Amino acid sequence: MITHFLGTEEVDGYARDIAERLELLGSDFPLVWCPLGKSGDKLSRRIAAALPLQRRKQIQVVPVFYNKKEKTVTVTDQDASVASIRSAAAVFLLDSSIHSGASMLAVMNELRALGAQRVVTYSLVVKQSTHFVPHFFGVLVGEHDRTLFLLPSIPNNRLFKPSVAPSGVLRSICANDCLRQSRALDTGVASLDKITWGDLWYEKQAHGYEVYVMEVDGEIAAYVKIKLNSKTMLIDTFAADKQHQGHGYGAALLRWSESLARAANCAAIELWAIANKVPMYRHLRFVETGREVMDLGDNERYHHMRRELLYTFDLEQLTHE
Amino acid sequence: MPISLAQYLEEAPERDQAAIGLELCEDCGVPLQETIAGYRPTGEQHAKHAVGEPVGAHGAKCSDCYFDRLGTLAEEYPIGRPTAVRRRLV
Repeated sequence: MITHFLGTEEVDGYARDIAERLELLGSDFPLVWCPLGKSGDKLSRRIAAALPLQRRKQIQVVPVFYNKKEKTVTVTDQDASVASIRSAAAVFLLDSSIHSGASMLAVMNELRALGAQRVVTYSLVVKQSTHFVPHFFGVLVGEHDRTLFLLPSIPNNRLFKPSVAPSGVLRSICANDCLRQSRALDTGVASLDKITWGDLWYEKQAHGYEVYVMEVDGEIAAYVKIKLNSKTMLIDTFAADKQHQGHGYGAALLRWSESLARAANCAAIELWAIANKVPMYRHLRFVETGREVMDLGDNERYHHMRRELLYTFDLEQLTHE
Repeated sequence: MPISLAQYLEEAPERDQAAIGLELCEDCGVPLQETIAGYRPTGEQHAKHAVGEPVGAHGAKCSDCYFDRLGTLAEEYPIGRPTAVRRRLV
């Protein structure tokens, strides 16, 4: 997982280049521009600044938006804009970054449906996992990378949300933890309360698990046991002591776990969820794999669930609507 | 009518104010720009779960609120794949 940062100079360099390439199209130069959303809006300004003044006067702009929630495309002032879109030799559809490609592909389909003769597409940044490739693009980044540009500051990674004061020590389990007076957590779940620090240390040493603990005032408040496979991360166990719940330690451990999964280029995170909480995990976009249900008795029944880390969308649906 | 490029560049502050096309976090209301705040869809609308149950509510959260919810859930109802351990309690 790499964070790329493009400063103003770099962005302007790419903007000058795409401006020149559009000029090379001659009579096919797109005179109608459709910046996509807020990021397309920002980028279009930099490209416009790189054009000769005379060219700028010829360009008409029709901002377009894609609503991810509703999966709908909005073309600004659509009825009045259709004639321009149809008459232009080409329409220029641009956005700053493409992740899955769903937004740009949906908008492109809409512009074609409105009668655009040709749609020329551009994005400053494109992720390798995209299902849609624009005609021109600046930087191709990895599936798990993030790219920042035209920002006054670069957001750091964090373990706690902004409203929570960070506390505790997040670290790997170590041999000395086996010597603790308190041998395990009190989670209220019988099978988990049987797992000792020695068990976790053994799993780490013998079976290749990673175990991270959150230590608070000398006590272990929570832990997560994970296993990285080639394409997935299994959150094998997560437990928090009843006395230490509600302080954000669980969020910190799970956030760190996901960061590790992304850094290892995992495509998905898997876990076993207690049966009566499966709907809540579903809401957080975990999906039952249907592979297995583990019943341990004592009302402990677990479902295997999985959440994709990468951007995906139904290509069939978008191309055949 | 489409606007001219000059008009478009002048009108930017109004469009920025309207946070055009940006979805907001369903919990804290922050604009969901993927690389800055994170964009985490929630709900089951697009989930392809094996049991084929009906779809539910759909929204999106920023990364902070997503992990807040996931962490709280996991603290109250631990994630487990309990396996046989070295020490048997008899």
